[in-house]
Amino acid sequence: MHIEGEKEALLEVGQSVLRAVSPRATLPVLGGVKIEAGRDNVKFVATDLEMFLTVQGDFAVKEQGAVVVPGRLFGDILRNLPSGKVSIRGADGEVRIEAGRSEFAVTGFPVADFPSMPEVKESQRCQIAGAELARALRQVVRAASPDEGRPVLTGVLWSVEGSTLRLVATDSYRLAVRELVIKEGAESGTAIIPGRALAEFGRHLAGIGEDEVSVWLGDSQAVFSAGSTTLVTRLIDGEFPDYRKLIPESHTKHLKVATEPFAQAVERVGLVARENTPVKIHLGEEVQLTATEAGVADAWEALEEVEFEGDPMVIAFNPRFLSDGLEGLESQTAVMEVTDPARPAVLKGVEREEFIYLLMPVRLPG
Amino acid sequence: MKSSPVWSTPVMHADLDAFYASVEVLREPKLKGKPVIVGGTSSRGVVTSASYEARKYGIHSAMPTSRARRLCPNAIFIQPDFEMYAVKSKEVRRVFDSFSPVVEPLSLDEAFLDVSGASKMWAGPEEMAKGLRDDVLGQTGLSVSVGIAPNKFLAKLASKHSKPDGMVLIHPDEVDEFLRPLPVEALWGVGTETASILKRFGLRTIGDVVNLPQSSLERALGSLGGHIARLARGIDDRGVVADSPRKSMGAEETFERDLTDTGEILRVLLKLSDRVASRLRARGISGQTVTLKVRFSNFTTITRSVTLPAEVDGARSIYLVVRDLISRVLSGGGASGHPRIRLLGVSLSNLKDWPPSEQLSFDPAAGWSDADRTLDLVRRRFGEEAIEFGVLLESSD
Amino acid sequence: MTSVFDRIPGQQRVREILERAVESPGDSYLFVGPRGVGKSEAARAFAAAILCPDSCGECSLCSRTIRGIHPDVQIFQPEGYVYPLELIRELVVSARLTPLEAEKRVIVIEEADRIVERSQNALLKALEEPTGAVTWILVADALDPFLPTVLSRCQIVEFVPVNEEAVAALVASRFKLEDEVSKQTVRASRGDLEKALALAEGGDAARVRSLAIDAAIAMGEEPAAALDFSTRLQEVVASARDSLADRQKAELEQMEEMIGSGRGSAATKKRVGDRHKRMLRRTETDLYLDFVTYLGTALRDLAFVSSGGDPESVVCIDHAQPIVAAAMNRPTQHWLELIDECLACHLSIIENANAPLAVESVLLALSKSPVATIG
Repeated sequence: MHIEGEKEALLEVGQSVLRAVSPRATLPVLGGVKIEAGRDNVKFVATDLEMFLTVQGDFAVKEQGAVVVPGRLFGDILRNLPSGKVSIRGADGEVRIEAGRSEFAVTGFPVADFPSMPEVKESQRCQIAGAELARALRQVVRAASPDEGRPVLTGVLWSVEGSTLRLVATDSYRLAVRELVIKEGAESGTAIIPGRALAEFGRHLAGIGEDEVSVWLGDSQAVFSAGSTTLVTRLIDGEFPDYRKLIPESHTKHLKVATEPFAQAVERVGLVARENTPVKIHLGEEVQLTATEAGVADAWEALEEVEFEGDPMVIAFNPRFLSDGLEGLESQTAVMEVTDPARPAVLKGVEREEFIYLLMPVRLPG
Repeated sequence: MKSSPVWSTPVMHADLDAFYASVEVLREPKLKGKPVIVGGTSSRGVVTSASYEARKYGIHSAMPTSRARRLCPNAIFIQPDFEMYAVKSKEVRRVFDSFSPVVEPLSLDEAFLDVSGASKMWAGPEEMAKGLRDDVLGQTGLSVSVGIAPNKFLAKLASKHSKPDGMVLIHPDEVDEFLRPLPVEALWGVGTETASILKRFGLRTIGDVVNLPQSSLERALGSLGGHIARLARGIDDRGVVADSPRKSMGAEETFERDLTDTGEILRVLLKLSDRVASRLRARGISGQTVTLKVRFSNFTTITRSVTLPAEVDGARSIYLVVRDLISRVLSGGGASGHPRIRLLGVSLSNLKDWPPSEQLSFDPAAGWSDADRTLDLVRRRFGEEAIEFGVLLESSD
Repeated sequence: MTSVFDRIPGQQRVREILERAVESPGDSYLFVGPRGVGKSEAARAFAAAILCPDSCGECSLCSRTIRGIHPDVQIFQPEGYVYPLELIRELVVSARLTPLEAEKRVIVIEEADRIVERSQNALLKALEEPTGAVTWILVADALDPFLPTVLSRCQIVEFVPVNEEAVAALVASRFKLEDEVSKQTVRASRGDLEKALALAEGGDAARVRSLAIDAAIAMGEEPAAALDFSTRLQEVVASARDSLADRQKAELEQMEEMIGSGRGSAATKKRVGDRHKRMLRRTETDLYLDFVTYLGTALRDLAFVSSGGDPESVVCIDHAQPIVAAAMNRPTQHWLELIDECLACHLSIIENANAPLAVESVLLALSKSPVATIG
């Protein structure tokens, strides 16, 4: 194998693919990056054993073939090379990286030892607008659980019904549901996709601004492809909780408030509160946000541009969870529907139904 | 030298005048004598502190900044800088500490001091109060108002009446005279809701409350009635509590026969966790650092601690932590083989004065604090040994 | 056509069971049997057979599975003395993931008897709710450390000591030995493949064995000298330890070069470091245990011959002559008592007694017992 390319371009591709490499790989070959030079393209592949990430680069192929280089070492070398043309060549055993007067010989891994990408058989394919999917992922993925207590909650439910795609995530404290329209090729089906893989894909998507995303759902894997990036991930086997029955059918109190100022007020008042101190919303004729950190500081702020219907009530939330929900809203005006300080609040944009965010309150002492 | 008499007014309440605004004036002396308002300067902000010059315009805390601006267009508006206030508050605290070993801070700008011991050094309470106010001003540049009285409730009322930059002493003989004309809202624990109930009974002043038999008040307001009746007569038994009287709260047990069985060890830890948790809850406090103590049969003693992201007061939360700690201790044993344990202890430190607030979950199985609270109720009625937590927990896991 | 099951020597019944199971493997298996009889090797072979359509043992899939680098076959070993609870919890969660490359997944837990009771309860969650796509293989020396609830979830596959022909075939496939030496090695290994290979290689394992036999024979001659063997044994163990430590150091250096010093690398190095320390300790203990076992075997031979047994049938066949000579110096009963001492010592080392001390005290006890000439 022998390829040539500019250092900056190689570094960019190398770094983005290296993000997938697990720092915990105890088996060296699994921390490697496979460089595959085909007839007219070069693919860089890395895996963390949960997903494969492939990025294609436009580099000159002098000789076809493949090598697997130690990932971290490869990244370090690329970063430190002088600018200009870089040549990478070699086979199993030794790989030489040359740029200007620098030359590195790296011991590669046997190509046959590198995991191979599955062929996703009997899959359903659909196409989605990239920018919209990127936004949807930002709105939903953060509600997935980082905790490994209940495996299915670390994933995002990907559910297709007709031409509607619904993304759902919950960590059991909040729930985010987002609907999107599928552009092409819709068949019904569901899968639970690891949140980490979707977050990774979302970051790539935001970075490349590609507007055409293809998704294949197979029995065991899902494939996401946008421009030069392809991500293949395992799925989570299990039953996603029936989120529909969590969404309250009615409410007794209705708050309408300008989204941006509300979000900023939560941020400001939240500054006083440490992570585990709730922000209280005093609902009534006047709507106020308060937070008290006993012995340290108090903060309060009255909201403006609000309309409130219903009896006065105080309800408290984890400020981070509340901010997450508000950040997801795309409408100028936010709607919060509540009934009781111990039951979920619904956040959504005014006259918008494509994204709703359900949030459990914090029970105050006493 | 003749021995000084014991003061009948052992409690002092010290309250800094317009604290945040005064700190801002100290930082920027040009502002002296001008209406200074600290608060959110955005269109939605509210006033957090106003200098006395600003208060003349009717401006007070919690008022929307926009309204304050209309009332006093010339006022100088400043964004709060809590870090700065905390630093200044510590300086003031050092002065307080030099006057009393028992200081109970309430917030950044006020504190109770137990001054019963000051009789040996000062001719009288007034002299001591003057000394303290002079020292605070001299060492920090801030003015403080002081109330001195037989108890906390009265001391706080007194300092309120001393503002700004003054001192009020309520002698035991003057309590009744002082309290009677005050509105019922002045009673600690009486908010707008209770006040409106009292007013429905025709009780507007503290004097009105004193004239009513305590039993009628209790009928109308339950246990709060008794509380109010006592306060109205100037009775308040709460002592001044130094802010860190206790650094940790724990429970431990030494065994007659060394423990080796993992199941038994876990059962003991569960019992200890429950004991610590119920003590925390009984005091309405919580702790953020959980410590496990293990003494082996050869008398080596080890401790392992974890600081949690949030404070806890529940048996389950504490048990889950110590369970992980003990499993690490037992599995790290290596060559020592099956350890023989002589003593186990569980303690909570990094204590907070408040119970933890609790993030509710969609998942009903996560509602463990309910179990803790039910347990407390049962115990209160039937005694400490009425119910064991163990069975409840183990079956859930 | 080759079969991956060729990698399981001498376990005919096991092989039959696993070959039958490959078509539709169960959710969880427990491979149990004495040490060194090929359980781990069998677990890897079974995993490869489940994943590879031909169970060939030769393709990249089989080869990567057997070497433990296939993403859908995870092979776990205890960290430190036991499996940390966190690792078991992570495992239970990761078991819900579908395969990445193959159609199925296999999770192998070696030395599963080192999962303490609490962690077994955590593991049970996964065993009780199988996904169908994951097969668990627990590997253990004995069944008694397991909770009945775990046992009831697993198909138990029992491994037996490997018969002499199979051991001989394995040894012959790796080493060129003279017939007589090969026969001695096979007999001395008593069905333990690992031990057979170590003995065939010569080196420390073989030295420990001949020390033990010499010590036993010395009991029939001048018991007081037996204590010297303790010092010599400690030297052999130290040298074995040093050479393992050198190999580990080289492995760590190579790994450092591979993974660099980025985020998470410290944790990885710690994991490997912990594994190394454990292996060192284990290697030492194992050599002491081996010594006591060989000592017992030689004493058994001595008792056997002194009671009139056929010298041709002794286990320590390469030391038959001195054994026959020494055997007559003590009554059979005497030899049997010495064997009891050995058994007690073996047990105390397994229960974590200080191994060198335990061996020294058994040698001391043996050397104090006077030679009582018959007649």
